[in-house]
Amino acid sequence: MAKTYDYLFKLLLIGDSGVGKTSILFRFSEDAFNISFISTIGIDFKIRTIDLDGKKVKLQIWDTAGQERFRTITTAYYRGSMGIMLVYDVTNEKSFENIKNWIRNIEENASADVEKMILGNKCDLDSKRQVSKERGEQLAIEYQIKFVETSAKDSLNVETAFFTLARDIKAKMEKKQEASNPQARSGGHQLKANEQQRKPASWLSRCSLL
Amino acid sequence: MAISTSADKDVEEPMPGYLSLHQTAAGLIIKWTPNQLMNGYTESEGVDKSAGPLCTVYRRACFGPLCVDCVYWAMSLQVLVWEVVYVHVHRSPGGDALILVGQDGVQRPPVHFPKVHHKSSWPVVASVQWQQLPTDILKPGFSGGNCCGQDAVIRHCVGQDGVRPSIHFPKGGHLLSFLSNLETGLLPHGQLDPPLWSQRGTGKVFGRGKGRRRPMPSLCESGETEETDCDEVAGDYVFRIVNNAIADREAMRHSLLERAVSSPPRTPRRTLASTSTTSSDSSTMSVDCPPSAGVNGHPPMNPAAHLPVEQSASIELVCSTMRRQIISRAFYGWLAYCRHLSTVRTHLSGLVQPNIVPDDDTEGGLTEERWRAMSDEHGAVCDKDEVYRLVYYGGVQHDIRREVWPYLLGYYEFGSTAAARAEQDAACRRQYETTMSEWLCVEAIVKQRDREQTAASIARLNEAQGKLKPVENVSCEYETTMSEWLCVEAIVKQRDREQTAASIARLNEAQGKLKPVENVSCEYETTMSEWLCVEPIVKQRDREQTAASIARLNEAQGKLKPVENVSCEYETTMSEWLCVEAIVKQRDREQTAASIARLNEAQGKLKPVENVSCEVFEDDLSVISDNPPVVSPEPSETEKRPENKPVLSRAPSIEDVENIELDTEEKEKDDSIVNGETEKGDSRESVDIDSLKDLNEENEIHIKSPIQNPDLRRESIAEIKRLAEGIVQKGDGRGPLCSVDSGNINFNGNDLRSSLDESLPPPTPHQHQQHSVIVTNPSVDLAASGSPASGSGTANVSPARSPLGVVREESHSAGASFDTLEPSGENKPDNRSNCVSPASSNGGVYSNELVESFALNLHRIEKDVQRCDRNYPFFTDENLDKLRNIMCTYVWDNLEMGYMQGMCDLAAPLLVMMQEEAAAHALFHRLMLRAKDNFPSGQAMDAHFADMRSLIQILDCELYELMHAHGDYTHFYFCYRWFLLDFKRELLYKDVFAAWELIWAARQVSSEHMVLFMALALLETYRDVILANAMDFTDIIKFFNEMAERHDATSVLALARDLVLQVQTLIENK
Repeated sequence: MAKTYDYLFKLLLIGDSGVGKTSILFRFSEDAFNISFISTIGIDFKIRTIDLDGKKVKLQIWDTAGQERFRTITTAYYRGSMGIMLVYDVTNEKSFENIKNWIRNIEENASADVEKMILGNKCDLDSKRQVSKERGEQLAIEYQIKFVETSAKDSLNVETAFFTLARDIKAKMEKKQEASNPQARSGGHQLKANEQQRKPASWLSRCSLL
Repeated sequence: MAISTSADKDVEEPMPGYLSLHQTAAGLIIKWTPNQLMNGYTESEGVDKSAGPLCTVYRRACFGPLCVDCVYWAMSLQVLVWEVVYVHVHRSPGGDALILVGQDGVQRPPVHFPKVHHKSSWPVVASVQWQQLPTDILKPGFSGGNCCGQDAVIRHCVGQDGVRPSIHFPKGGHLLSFLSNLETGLLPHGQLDPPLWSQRGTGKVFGRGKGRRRPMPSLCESGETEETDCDEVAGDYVFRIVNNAIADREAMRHSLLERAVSSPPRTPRRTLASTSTTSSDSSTMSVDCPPSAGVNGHPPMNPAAHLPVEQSASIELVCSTMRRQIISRAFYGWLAYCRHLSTVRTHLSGLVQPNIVPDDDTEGGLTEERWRAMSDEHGAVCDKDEVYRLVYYGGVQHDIRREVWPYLLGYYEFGSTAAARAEQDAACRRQYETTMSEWLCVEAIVKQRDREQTAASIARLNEAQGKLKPVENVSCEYETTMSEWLCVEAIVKQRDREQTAASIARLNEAQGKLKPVENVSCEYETTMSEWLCVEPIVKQRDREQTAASIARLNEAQGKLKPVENVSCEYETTMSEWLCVEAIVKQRDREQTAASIARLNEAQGKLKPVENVSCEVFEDDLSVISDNPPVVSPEPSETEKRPENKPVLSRAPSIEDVENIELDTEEKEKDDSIVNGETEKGDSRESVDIDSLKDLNEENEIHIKSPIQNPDLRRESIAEIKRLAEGIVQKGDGRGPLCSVDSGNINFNGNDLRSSLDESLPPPTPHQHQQHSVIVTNPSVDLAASGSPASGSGTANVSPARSPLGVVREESHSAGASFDTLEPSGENKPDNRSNCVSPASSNGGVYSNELVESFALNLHRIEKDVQRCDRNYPFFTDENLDKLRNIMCTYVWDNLEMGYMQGMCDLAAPLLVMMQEEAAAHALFHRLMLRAKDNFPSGQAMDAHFADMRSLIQILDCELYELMHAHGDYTHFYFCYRWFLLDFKRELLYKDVFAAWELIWAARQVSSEHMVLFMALALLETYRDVILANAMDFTDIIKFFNEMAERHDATSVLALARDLVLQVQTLIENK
């Protein structure tokens, strides 16, 4: 049967309660913004299929409850996720400080090579901003994670964020495929400039062994 | 051997073939045939025909071209199970292998079972096929028996004694199904030892004999859970084939087997197996001998003589075999059912109550008329069983829900009279307000801190962006605040002085003395205080201007405007404490009244000084209007207050109030009495109460200006806090507080009148000092100084605060040192030093940890309350505030648990129904007694999931198997939200009401775990969809999340009741 997608990536949205995870998800999956969201209890997910370099990538994005108490439940979903979005609220200092804790949580519960990204949401509320963009960037550099400020309300950078994350995952996956099965690798694979690339020479040398 | 040469080409590779079990008169036969033979495939003719003119593989001669086939035929395998003594099972992740060992030690080819996941069917055994035994019974090819098999391969292994075919099964449940079919086929004469099919432990899947039955423990013993497929285990097992046949049948069989023995097709085996099959003749015989007992080693009989007898004997044997098999199958079925039931009883009986309550005459549930009919003349409803029954089966009519719900939740007792209930309500309301006042104080601090933090963050932000010195903004605020309370401070001091002077004056009058000096000093101080008041205003204005210019500058540069924030926050704060103020006032009055009452009882005297306090006190009373941010100063009634007016232009923040209070408290400490209720305290109270009494007339006069005396208001807030602390600290010290019905929070002096019914004699006449009754907490270090008579003039206590003289040790931020507010009278520096410096926080009730903890919860609550049920029009801002209050109050009482997301959802319907905060809070509290375990802090959720698993297993095996197939599923996380919120998010509000009623009533009627059955009902309602789409975990979550609020609640609830009944019946019927 014909598959409707080539890849299925499981993504996860985490962050303090009230930072806007559900709104981001809604913006990405439905391209809408609703100020009347009720707080997420338990877990939910949305799907969107995007096109990446000609491949259909189905993104299954899980949305969790943000309160710390629910972490034991949400950590059950860390396993198996390929990408995790850490979200904080630029108008809430505390949520930014907690990003470190969330990262630690990921390190403890998710797979080691999960792709991460930090989102500073609600960047449209400049008048209430408490966390500067520089600080966010600094944090991201510190953890070597990508960072972008988003606004689910104004639809700013949400698509970018997800597409970037998906691309990173895809690239990583293809790299792994290369590593495990070089002769099966098809040509035309697009290597990302910011990835660590195996030198083509090694691929060729491996090839020649066979 | 001929075979070996052709076989070595792929000795290591399994050859696929067809494995079948045949039930014949001779017994169970395992046959394996290469695929090549089955489909008529003929290999190429590359075989060397020169191997021999005649293929001696089989009896019949075959010609050259058929040699290949003969080879394959030679490879085919036919084993009479009775020849087999042991069955060796080798399991590995790659597949399973089976080796049959005859009694002579011969290893029949290991049969390898593949691991393909598809259901195999072995109908052979089930449909007892038998056939007349032909002479060439084991002729190659199918003898018409209905056999199906699986793809099993024969692998030829080279052993010491030559080629030895082995049979490998592909991956999957095949080995298991083969073995179980084998076992069944062996019945009734034989069995596997140890039996393959054994019951162990719980959670077995019952009743489905399609190879899904649980194999013996050893097959699954490498620590796997019940859910995993046992085929995934690696290991070696040995089964022994045991024959329990009785002698005569054995004899028959022997005769039959003899015939079989002599049949030529055995010959191939001779060549295949290393050992000669001729030996199998005897081994055949010996196999039939049961190890336990029985006939053993019949000598082979001469087959020929028995032919005619055997014919009829065989039929008879087969018939009896069939009979026995049917009986045994029936028996096993019944046995399985019994085991099933025992599981039910063990695991599920705890979920339901044993006695079934009938549902006759419950149409419409608890209607209003039925309800009214049930309450007697005192308003007591006694027949609670009937109430529960009606609610369980039919719900509650909407109009009376408000009345009935408190009963269902256990808040009202059945049998209580209407009067008792009213009393209970009143007490509840008082309690609620008390608690509310407690946390409101903390909230004020929290808000202030938030503001500071915001300012700091903004400042940092600005700094980082190189803007104007942010510290100015911060200091702006700080100084704003400071100036505010400085103002108040001045006023307070002034008033203190005034009061002192007045008291003294009166006292002197009474004693015939005059102290003009005091008057003078009064005046002086009056004047001084006047300008002192103005001074801060001026400073403040300066600051404001500075801030404004900064702001403008910032604006010009596009920066933030902290000043606005300040003023915003300021007004926010103001409104906050204004609310508190209202409560405080009320409490003041109540407290005062109570104290007065007490004192009056005790002594019956009046204190002249009360007049003074009256006036002053009235200032307090004048304040609380219901429109908080009324800043317009009104002409003060007394000459004492002209200076207040300018102050009023800037209503102080609550911190100022607090600060002031602390200051004044200090003075009060002098008078403080630990754990109050001493006479002194009473006396103080009496002073005020009397004044309050006088107030009655003056109420109208004074109770006007909204914010006349901010200091007074603050005092009252402080008092409330102190009061609250007192309550908190000394549980028994609630007398005066609780006696007052705080239900009348109307914040007007009229209420006071109602509570002032007694006159109160002051105990000590010299106590012109308006010492507040300080019901201090033992923990209050400041309370140490309990000296009542702080002589001259601790012009500290404004009479207003006396009734609630709870020393509050709260720390304020941004307060000044209170040293400036030195008591004119006794000065307890030590106390004052204990008094918190504004920026720090001390011990006592409102410790820093407490404030922090409450702050955290406050933020969470606010985030969640805003988002709660936004789509419902009921939740206006006002109602959201109520919700917030309920939450804060509950969290304040349960600070160690704190607020968790979901609690709002649980409280919201209660608020919608009861409308009133205190009632909703009381019901919420009762609800949480059970519900709090569902939250992450409790253990109930896991128990729910486990129970769900058992329930589904018993009540719907098919669904359970589907869930099994998708292992994740069994986490039941799609039920998480259901259980946490009692289905509140899954149903529309009106359905939520019905669902909750069912849950509550069911606890008394049929099951304390009604939520489980409702969850099951939801699953069952959509089971067709689920099964048809073979939903896995993500599908199910998505499905139910999207079905939220679209369920047919009535049918779901009815189904839930049905399921409970089912389980009850199951348990009841032995």
